[in-house]
Amino acid sequence: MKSITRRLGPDIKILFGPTIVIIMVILLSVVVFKNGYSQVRVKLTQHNEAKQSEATLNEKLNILREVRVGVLDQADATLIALPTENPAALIVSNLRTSASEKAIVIKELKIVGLGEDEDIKNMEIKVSTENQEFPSYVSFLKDLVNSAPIQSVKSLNVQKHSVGENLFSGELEINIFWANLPVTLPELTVPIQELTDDQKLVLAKMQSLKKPVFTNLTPSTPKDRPNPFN
Amino acid sequence: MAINLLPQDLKPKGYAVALAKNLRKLALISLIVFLVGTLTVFSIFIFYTRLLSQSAIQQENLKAEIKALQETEQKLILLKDRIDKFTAVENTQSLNIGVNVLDEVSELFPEGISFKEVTLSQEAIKVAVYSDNLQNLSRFILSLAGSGKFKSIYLVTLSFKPTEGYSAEFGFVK
Repeated sequence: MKSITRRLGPDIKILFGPTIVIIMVILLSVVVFKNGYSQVRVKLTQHNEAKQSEATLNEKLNILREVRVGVLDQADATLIALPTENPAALIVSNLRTSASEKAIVIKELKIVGLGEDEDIKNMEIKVSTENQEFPSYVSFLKDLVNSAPIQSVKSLNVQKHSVGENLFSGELEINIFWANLPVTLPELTVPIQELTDDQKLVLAKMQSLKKPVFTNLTPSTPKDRPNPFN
Repeated sequence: MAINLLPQDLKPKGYAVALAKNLRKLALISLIVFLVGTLTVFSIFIFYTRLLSQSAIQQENLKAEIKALQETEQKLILLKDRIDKFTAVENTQSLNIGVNVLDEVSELFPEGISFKEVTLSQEAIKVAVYSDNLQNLSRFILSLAGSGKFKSIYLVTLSFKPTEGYSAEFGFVK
């Protein structure tokens, strides 16, 4: 190095030192700022993501804290309105009860299995009836569509036997539905939404459906058995 | 006064001395800028690293609080699931609205009109009635039209048989 500087002229020799320093600083700056900038950018992106997920978690927590207990208590009503198991037996029982209340004779009742959808499963119930008063049949139908579990009328045909005779024959087809519950909870970081106004209206409708009557069997008391082998 | 014994050709020229002086200043300034810049970048890096670790702690706390409210979350998700599926069922082709039409029509029945046939299908809601005379039938049509409960009412058939009297079938759009 010394021999090189000795060989250089005095003009260059005096400029050599500061020039080398400037070149070194420029080179170091390129290396440091390039790496530093990319590292800071990564941190900045991570920070933005962290802030976003923090905000999501905060929002979720606030919704869970503020959600009205009254709303959650209606979960049972929604399970009755759209059950998780096939409600055919329950609906048939309701049909029979309602028909007997309205003096409608059920002549034939068929349950037909339909293709099971992935999410919502359904089945068809065909009911053949006979009755004398038409308004009572309308009332029977109203009971049906306003009862839980949800049922939808698929087709209906009611005919009067003849002009003079006050006897009606009805052929009714209804669809009944049930659906499985969600199996997993979403990830903690997935945002959650409060019930919208439309959802609240549907909830109110589900709540307003007439609940099925469940019979409670009272346990019988032990009886005397004089002959235990009989 | 100091005597310069060096030969004049070994002495740097004036412009070179001035340039060197300027270069030295520039080197010093660039070095300072470099050091300040490096320090700034490093500070920013440290600042965001600390912010990130604080945020991670905060997120863990929030997750713990959310986990404590898991039962509420479960109920809310169940509720939403049922509501969405119920809406999907309601949106399927259902004739439940036809039952309301039937109820409203039966409320408008005047004396002398009796049901003959009712058909609810995907195509139409049809109600056929018997009437002894045309006056009763026209009163029924007037009460249907005047009720304002139906979007459209159309007459499908009108027939007369001496044994049955008048028979009319109406189609309804709710």
